[in-house]
Amino acid sequence: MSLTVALARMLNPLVWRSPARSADKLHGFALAEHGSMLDLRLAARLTPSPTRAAAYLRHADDETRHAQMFGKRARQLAREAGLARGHAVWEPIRADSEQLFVGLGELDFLAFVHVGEARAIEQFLVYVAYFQAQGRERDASLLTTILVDEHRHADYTRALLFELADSEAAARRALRRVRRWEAWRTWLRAGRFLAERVYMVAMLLVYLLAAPLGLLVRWARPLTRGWRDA
Amino acid sequence: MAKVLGISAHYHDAAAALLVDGELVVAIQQERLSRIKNDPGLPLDAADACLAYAGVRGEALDAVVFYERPFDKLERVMVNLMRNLPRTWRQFPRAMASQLGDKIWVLDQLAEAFGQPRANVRCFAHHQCHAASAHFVSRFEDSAVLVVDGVGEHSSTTLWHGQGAQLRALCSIEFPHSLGLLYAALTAWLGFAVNEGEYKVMGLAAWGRPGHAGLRERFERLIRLHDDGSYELGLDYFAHMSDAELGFGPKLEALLGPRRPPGLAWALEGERDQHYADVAATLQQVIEDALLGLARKAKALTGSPNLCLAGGVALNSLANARLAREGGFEAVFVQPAAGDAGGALGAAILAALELGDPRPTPMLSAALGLPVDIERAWAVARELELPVRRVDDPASAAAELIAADKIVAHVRGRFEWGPRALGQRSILASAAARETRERINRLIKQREPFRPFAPAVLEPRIGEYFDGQANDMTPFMTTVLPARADRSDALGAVTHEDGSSRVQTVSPAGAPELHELLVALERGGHAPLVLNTSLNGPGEPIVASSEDALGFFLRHAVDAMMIEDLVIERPA
Repeated sequence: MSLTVALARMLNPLVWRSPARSADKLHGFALAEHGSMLDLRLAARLTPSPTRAAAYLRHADDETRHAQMFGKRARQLAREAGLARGHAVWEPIRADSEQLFVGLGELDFLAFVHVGEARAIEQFLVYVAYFQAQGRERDASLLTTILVDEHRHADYTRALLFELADSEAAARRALRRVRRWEAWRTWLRAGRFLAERVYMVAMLLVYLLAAPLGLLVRWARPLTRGWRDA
Repeated sequence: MAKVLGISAHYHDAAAALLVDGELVVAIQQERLSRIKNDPGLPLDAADACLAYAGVRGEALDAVVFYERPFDKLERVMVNLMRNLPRTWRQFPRAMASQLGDKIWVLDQLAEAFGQPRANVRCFAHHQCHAASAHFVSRFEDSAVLVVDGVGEHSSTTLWHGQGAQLRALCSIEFPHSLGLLYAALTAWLGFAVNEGEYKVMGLAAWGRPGHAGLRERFERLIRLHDDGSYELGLDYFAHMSDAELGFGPKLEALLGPRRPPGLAWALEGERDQHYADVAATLQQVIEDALLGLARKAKALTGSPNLCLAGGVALNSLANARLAREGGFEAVFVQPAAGDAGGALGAAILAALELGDPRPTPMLSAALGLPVDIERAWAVARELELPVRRVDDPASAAAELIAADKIVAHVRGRFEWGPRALGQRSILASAAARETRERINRLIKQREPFRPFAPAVLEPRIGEYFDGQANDMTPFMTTVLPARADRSDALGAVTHEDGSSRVQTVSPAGAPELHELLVALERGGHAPLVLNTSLNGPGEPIVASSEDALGFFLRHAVDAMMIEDLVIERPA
């Protein structure tokens, strides 16, 4: 059993324990699919090969559809949970692009996408089994539908990766390189998460210390009204 | 003679614009390349694309210019955070991270990105860049310039006098009083995304009753308009001093009712949504009245016969039409990227003028982006197994499709500068039948039912369909005209609820490919008029490259796509 599967099984009861948590998780999937779409669109524009451009465009089209499907289900669950209208799940699905094609190069980009798709398949299979056991047919069916595409994506990216690499060994090296890079990225993200919390506390302290400045500013820089000459 | 790159970034609508020897060569919004709507990030992709298009290396630039003074902005942010203690405690860490972690270093980042000595990287004030982006590309020798947006460094409204290659600041209204932030707060209250939903508010206004049930009196608590043209917000109702995202406070909800939940389907026949439409209509009326006051002040200070408008509020085409009618000016000009993207253009012009270059020639066309790679489009379309073919006369081919009531994605020429699709990256269809509009909405745009679609018409034929003539704004769709009631047969899909149309007049200089298409339509015995809406799906930036176009065709049910001389028709 892979670490992905073990973690997914262990965390299932936590992640999917309520409609609100499920809505959050599916909204996260929608954002991930949207981000992936952006990377694939960029790849389609930048790859020198029209064949691969076409493959990336088809994949990007699937990711757009998946993002919509996840987003729609997340909002249904948010309605069931009575999530406040200010919650992120109600916002339009907008992700940032990591510009992975530019950062990694095409070979490693393909390896990255393949690794991501393979991992998604493992996770989704665990989730489907969990949903079926819980009688959540709608969620099971959503993931089963998307799994069909994920298998296709994993297959074509692997085929293109081995085709583009100079040798099978080079393709396997790219897969290992990307896994190491992902691990490093996860480590950096964890560091960033921690640093953000420390920063928040530090800045709140600065804010408290700066409180007397508030009075000074109100006296020295009062609000202006009406026209001010240049 | 200089090569100058202007940059706007870090708030919304990041962009780059390149001037060579005083002439605008290329201008690109970052969102078109990154595919992230309203992308605020430093637009290095857009800048690189500008340089590549013009064949200029970064090191060969004479200046790189940013559209804002970062330290002035930092000062305003700091003063505001301190002044509004303790309400700003949530905003403080985020604002500091954003300012100190990123924004104040932007000039150094630009120097590094383009291999420039730091001394070659400069900046101008936000509103000065807006004003420059309007006056210097207008055809006017003398103009009053009115800049109205959310906020720049300190100012939210400024008046300028443009004379030839000179631009002189006259007076300003300062943050937190801001028409842009009033509009943003009401946009959020109506359940739309700020910096994106403002067009929706404008479209909704036509369905409402301005001032209904005492709304105008209630709005007087939100904003007081003074006889000298200035205005003052009732700050208790707003939260933009302490909440950068929402913009309005509980008192506004007590005054106007609860905020409309975002994403809820609209039912304008119902009392509840009619109230929201009434508020939108009242807001539109108040904004127009405020802008008229500002324009009259500008007229009094400059005596100029012409008015240029810039800043996000200048994209309100209804208000622009009223200014043209009642502002007392002979002519009004709004360049197509009047929002923050336009700041990149203004910054570049200001630096070029300082370096001794002449003022740019008037902007006649918004087709300032990149062309498509036709051979690449052909190759990728074939790989996608799409039924692609070449035609000798693409304008006639497109006209035939439109005449046959097909919805056509039109990708020809360099993509547009600004938020409007002006025929280079447009969805085109017959303007006559209302059903076409509903079909486009259902299959592609999925817009709210109250939002209008715009027409594009051959410039000399405008009087045959609309009450009015072509003016400095109509080539860029920055104003509206009343549709002629006796021509409703030809305008069913493009007439708004209030009888207006945000019409584009098409000339060979402004949009040559669309002009050829309209001529071909007329030659075939049809009205030289089409419905013209942007080539994008909901929430997406407008298409730029051939790959974007093909991706759009895969996802959205247009009947056909023209990419230069390539035609792809969807099998019936």
